[in-house]
Amino acid sequence: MEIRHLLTVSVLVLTTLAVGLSVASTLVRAWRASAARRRDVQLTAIRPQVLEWLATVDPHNRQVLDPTARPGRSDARSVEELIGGLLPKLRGDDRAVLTTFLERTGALERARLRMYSRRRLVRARAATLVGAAAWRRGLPEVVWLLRDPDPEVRSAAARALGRMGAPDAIPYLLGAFEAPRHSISASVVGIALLHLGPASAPELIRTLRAAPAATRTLVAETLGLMGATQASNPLCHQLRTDTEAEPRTAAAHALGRIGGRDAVGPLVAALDRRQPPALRIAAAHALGSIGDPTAIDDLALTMTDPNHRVARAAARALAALGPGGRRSLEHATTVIELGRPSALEALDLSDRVRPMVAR
Amino acid sequence: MIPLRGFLAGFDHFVLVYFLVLSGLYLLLTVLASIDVLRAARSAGVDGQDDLFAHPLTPGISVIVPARNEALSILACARGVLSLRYPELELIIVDDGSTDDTFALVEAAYSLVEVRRFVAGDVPVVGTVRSVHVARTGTPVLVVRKDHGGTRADALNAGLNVATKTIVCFLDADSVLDERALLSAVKPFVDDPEGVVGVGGVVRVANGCAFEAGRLVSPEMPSSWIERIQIVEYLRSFLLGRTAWSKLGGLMIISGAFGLFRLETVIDVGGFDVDSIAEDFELVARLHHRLRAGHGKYRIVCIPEPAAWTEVPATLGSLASQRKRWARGLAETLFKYRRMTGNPRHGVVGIVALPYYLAFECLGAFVELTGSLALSLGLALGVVDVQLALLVAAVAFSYAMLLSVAALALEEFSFHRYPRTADLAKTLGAVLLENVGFRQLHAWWRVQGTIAAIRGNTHAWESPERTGSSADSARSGTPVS
Amino acid sequence: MTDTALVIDDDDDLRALLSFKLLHSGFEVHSEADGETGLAAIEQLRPDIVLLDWMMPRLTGLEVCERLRSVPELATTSVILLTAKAQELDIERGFAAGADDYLIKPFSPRELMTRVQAVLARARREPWKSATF
Repeated sequence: MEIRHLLTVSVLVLTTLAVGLSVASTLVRAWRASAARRRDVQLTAIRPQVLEWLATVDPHNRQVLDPTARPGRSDARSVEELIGGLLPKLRGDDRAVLTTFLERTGALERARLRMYSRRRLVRARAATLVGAAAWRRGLPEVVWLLRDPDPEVRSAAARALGRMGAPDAIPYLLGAFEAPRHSISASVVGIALLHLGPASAPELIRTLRAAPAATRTLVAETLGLMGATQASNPLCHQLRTDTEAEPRTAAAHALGRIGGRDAVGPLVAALDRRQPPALRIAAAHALGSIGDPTAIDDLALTMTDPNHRVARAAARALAALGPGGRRSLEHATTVIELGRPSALEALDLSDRVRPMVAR
Repeated sequence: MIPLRGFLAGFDHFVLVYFLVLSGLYLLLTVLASIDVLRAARSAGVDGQDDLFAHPLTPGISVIVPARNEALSILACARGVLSLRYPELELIIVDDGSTDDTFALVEAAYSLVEVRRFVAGDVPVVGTVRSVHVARTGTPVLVVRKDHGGTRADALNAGLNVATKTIVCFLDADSVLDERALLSAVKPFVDDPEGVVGVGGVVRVANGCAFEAGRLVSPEMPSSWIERIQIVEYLRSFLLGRTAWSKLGGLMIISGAFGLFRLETVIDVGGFDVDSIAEDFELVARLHHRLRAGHGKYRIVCIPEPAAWTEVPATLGSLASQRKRWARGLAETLFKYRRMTGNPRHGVVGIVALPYYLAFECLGAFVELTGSLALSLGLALGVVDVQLALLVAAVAFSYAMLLSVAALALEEFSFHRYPRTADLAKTLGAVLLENVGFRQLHAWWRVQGTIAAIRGNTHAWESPERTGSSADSARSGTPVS
Repeated sequence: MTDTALVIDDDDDLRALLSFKLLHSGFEVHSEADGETGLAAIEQLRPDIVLLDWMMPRLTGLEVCERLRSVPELATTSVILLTAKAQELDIERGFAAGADDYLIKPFSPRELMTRVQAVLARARREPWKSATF
């Protein structure tokens, strides 16, 4: 009776597995609970000490550090963990104090070595710590991790570079973004670039010229978010002459955020119906943010755009252009062909809602 | 007598083979899902969510909540959504011809004012849109009042027509999101902006849990076994089933209770099908159909955590009508897209996912019921050996248990949302109960639903109005796989 | 007279750190971990200044701020909103809800202390202004 035998064995195996998994779950749960309790006890004990020390320590006296962690202290790991968790929440002097502390205890050097670990999460966490501490000596390893085979590690490295505020890392970041394999997403690189701050604007402007389309898009957006006024001219140039739609749309967004009047001409030209809708929308928004009344007539014409999203953007922009814009909206409500629906909507929103709802 | 005996013996063999194939497939899905879920659970903390939250270019999300007579839950829902950890979102409530205080409550809470908003006809809407209201204070709330168009899909489409953000999120009024749910769910869109068009979230059972101001305070076990069984079902379905299908590239269902899509893509394919009773399944099937026919490079994925907590039926009656509706929606949609089934042009979806849904999800209940019948008949006629039959039943039973326990263990090893140890024991108890009685009942409901789809009679078992119970059949269709 | 400060933040570390800093600058300090108990504490303690986190469970900082401004007796209470939301529109919403100042996370506690002093000095110079809120 071969088959019976087989079936009986199956039942036994399956049941054993099910029972085994249940027992394992219970054990894991118990182990986790006790580990969490132990950790809680330690953290509650040291947290007030460490925080009070941080609140009172003189940031300019780099010699007097670490009053709470005596050498050989058993909870040194918990202190480091606490401080590692605190780092990303702080800036300025307090962060510098913590970095110096972690440097002294050797925690940062250990993190540098852990970036060579074979376990991806260990690498990612180490890069995150080095980045949060803005520890320059770990820079080469973090840059190296930009080409890691694991996507989470690459992203963690890019974020770390942004936190470190290392403008010299721009070429590496953009290189990792453009890499054909193992690349890093635009969002992660964009956040990192933005963290580098306005000091990196000149370097970013230089890359606009020779970079691939995706990079031109990303860099233009970033420059806009930085409010980099010196980027106005190159962005106008990109808006007028770029061969692809996305870099032009990004340039339009950026020019709206920067807010210079010299962008009005190229933006008005981008309202033309032969341009892609996303660009028309971006240009209308930007003209609203810049707030120059010379754009009123062109925006009024754009309210008749066949694409209702473009028409809406134009009407909302007009509402932001003062009395002239308002007159133009009111005029448009009288004739259906002039884009009455969008005009009515924009007037209602600007009259009845304060502050203005999001775009 | 001989032909019948032969037939029964043959049928028993068929059932055995069917069972073996299904088991193998489940085993594969379980292993695939475990890898992904455990990986995701461990990555917490290095996934850069805080950066995403603070970044101005994180894509905006329009959260669309269809609300038909939701006076009980709408304010908690609105508060919950508006206090989510997400940088740019707008809440769109579609008041779908409510006859209760739904609108008045929102109007008072957010000092709504009517605006003459231009509502585009991007996707078809049956019920007439009456008015659009926004908050005077600038809180990003928008309410669309419309006549009831008969289906949930109709209300969702009305929301799509006024949505302005890049991503739309569909949410039930009685679902509550974890604080970071949107940040996690938007990550696939951000990581792969060209490819990802849809992201399904995890849905968990809200019954029994403690909520406050639209936020989960503590996950707890509901008191009735029928609700606990659904906890096990949902864990199995979302944690094991969908994660694995997502990894394989054959995810067919994004729950209507919590799903995100690229607005432009949804509008391009025409929005929800206002005639479908399983509009969420239908939309994903259509996306697969249209996008594969188009350029081909697209992804529909799901994330294993965090979750939306949703009320599930607490009575046998409402559960029965929900499951019949799901089975019917599944069958109708499978029939509608029958050309895709087995079609290699549609890749994993055509060759693996749709055949799986047809053979196991749709027709599985028939095999299960007839298999049990044939076995009993065989036993009665003496064709089948009693001992052998019992052994086969024991294998099937222990395998089903193992799958459920695996889902529970995976939950325990990864996200462990239920804090009390007693909860673990209760879910294990539900695993036992599910396989004796409930399973057979469920198969019977599914058979009824599928038969209704074949006969095409309209909504026979559905009551036209909500009865006021916490959960009912007119909610989002979420076939549990 | 000692100024009273109230720290409302759901992050344990930041709440404790800010409390210690304020304490060492001579404030009388109280702290709460969520918006609801925070609002109750504001009404009870009538602090001179509130450091308020935006993203909190139960009541968000923005809601706390709006409710606080709707109580005439609390008009002199200064509020500094702390948040990781860095977009212009959010800052606008923060001020519209009645915040006196706004600081984006991660922040330098030293900068925050400077702002606390500045906001309090302004409130003392122009008491009528805060009363018209």
